[in-house]
Amino acid sequence: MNHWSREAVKGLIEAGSTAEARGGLESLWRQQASPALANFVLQTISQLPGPPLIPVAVTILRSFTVEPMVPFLRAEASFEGFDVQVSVGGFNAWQQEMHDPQSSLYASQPRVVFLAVQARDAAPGLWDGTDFAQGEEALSQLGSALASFRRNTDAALVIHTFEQPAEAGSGLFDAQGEGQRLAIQRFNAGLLRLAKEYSGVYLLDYDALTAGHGRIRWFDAAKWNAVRLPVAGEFLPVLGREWARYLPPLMGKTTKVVVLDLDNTLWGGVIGEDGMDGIRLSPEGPGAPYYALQAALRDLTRRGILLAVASKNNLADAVEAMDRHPHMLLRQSQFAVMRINWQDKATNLRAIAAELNVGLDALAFLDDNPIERQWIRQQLPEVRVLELGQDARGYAQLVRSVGSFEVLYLSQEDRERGTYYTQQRQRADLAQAVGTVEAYYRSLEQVIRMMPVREATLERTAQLTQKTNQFNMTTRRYTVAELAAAVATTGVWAWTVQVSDKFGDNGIVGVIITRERGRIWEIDTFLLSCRVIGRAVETVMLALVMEAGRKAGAEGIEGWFRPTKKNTPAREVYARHGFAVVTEQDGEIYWGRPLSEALMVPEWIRVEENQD
Amino acid sequence: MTEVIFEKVRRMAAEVLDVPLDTLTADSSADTVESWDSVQHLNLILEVEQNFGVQADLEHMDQLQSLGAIAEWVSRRSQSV
Repeated sequence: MNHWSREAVKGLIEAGSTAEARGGLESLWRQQASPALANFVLQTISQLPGPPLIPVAVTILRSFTVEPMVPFLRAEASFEGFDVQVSVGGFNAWQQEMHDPQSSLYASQPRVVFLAVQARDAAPGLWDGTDFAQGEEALSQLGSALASFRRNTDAALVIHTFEQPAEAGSGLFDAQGEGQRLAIQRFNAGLLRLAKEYSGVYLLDYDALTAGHGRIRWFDAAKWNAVRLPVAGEFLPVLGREWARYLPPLMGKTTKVVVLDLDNTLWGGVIGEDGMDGIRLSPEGPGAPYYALQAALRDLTRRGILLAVASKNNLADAVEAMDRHPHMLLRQSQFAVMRINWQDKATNLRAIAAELNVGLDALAFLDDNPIERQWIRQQLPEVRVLELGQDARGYAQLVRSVGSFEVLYLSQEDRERGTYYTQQRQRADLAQAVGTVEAYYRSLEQVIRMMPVREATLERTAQLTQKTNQFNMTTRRYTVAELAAAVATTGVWAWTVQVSDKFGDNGIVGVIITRERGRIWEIDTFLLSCRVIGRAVETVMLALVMEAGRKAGAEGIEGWFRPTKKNTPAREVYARHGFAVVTEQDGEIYWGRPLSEALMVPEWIRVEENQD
Repeated sequence: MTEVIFEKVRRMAAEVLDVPLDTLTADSSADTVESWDSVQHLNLILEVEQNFGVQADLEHMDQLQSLGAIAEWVSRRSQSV
């Protein structure tokens, strides 16, 4: 269906075709988002297949009217898997609210705070070009508000940059020297420096957003004068979406693998029928939309997202196109897994998730065929299915707008993830060649380095607590700010583990955090990335922590195993390392063992301890 | 013409204000509908603007206090275009 309506969506729900209704609702929303439709989306989405909505408390501190954007934020966030409860601060009251520990800002205990302040209000002299120095004043006000904010909450903070006016006060002269635009750029650069001083503080480039849509069109003078709303009606959904895109990376709910169809998705036409010369894929002309989509997907790989293929094709045809077509941007080597066969796609997606050791909720699915999309929505509601629509010209833009594809922090590990998986394939080949498990471990020549968490590794450590599901004893999620606070607490010890082997460096892949409780060290967090499960890394981690505990005078080590849908790989870990059950509560098991006896570390692992 | 426009405005109001359609008349306003506060008033104007492709300016924002007034304003604007 090309043109959707509310009635069509309602009709499908009544007929029980909820998977199709969800696709329709997403298309309808993109065609004609409005305040009324936002209400309809929020009332409808819980009846449709998809991951259960995660509640998030959001506060918007502001200097202008933001209420009309709130329904758009909530509707957009619901498509990203969040049930957002929004509080809005008082007009131009953001400074008091951030400074006052008793303010309603802190009382509402938000997880995410947006600071939507514009130069018009916070630095009018900078805005109209009469007093550039107001930029410096605004920066120092922001700096002190930020310090108060961090003293009072661990919530993430997202600050709007100042937008440039459409016309500079001094006209053409402004570009000829130390003009107003340069002053606003300096303010925004200062804002970035300020944000970098704190963990969990990010920028939203409001200036780029308004410029991208056109500064003159973005501003609605009538609404500004009447109700202090500086954003024209057609861009209210744009700002709502921009806010919503911050939620998946802030809440650690991001896509790890994008699974792609080939025919009429990655290229135009059907390779099995049209052949290499017949498919459409080129920088210009009719193949341009597919080329643009491939470029967008290639950008995702630079953020640490893996690509995989699930396609009904003859393998030889598909591989030939991938490796030989002159305009393919994504070659075979760029895909972590390829399932090119005639099996149903739900089976293939399950296999891809299993092979890459990720949950189904870490997958996104791109397919031009509505039947396949419905099938996946029905069979695997956890999977994020993108509603591609019929016109390939919208595909790249859609991929670039998805919140769960966003990152706010990139570790070395993220950048090189594609390489890690290539190395992983080489390790698997070696395992087959070597035979026995121990001989394989020996041949890997592993080196493990355990280090206390510090400033430079804080982000990666928090990221691991957010993303690790399988080998994770307690599945405690930490934001960067929460982690920084925990690490600074007396009696709390936190280490990261880095693993390298003959194929390369895996980077930081494990975290263990303990809390001193009298003579007992309690394990608060103990996790390992799925890349290194089954290589005795956990034994080394426990051995080193036990050693540290003993040196500090502790007598025992204890910790919870809290079962989740995904952490069965961690279930037997404590039992395998000489822990006994201390107590059980609602299916959660509390394990413990004395520190009198050291754990044996396999002699084929080289351990480098670095206590700084 | 105005009848058709009024009916559309009424439907939009029911959805924005989240009230049953049959409770709304041309006289419905912030005084008669509980959920019709200043935020929802703005949302209703934005909804009407988007669906009819019209733009309210400052003086109109103050005058558009009932559903009937909103529908009348829309039909005047659409005729003058």
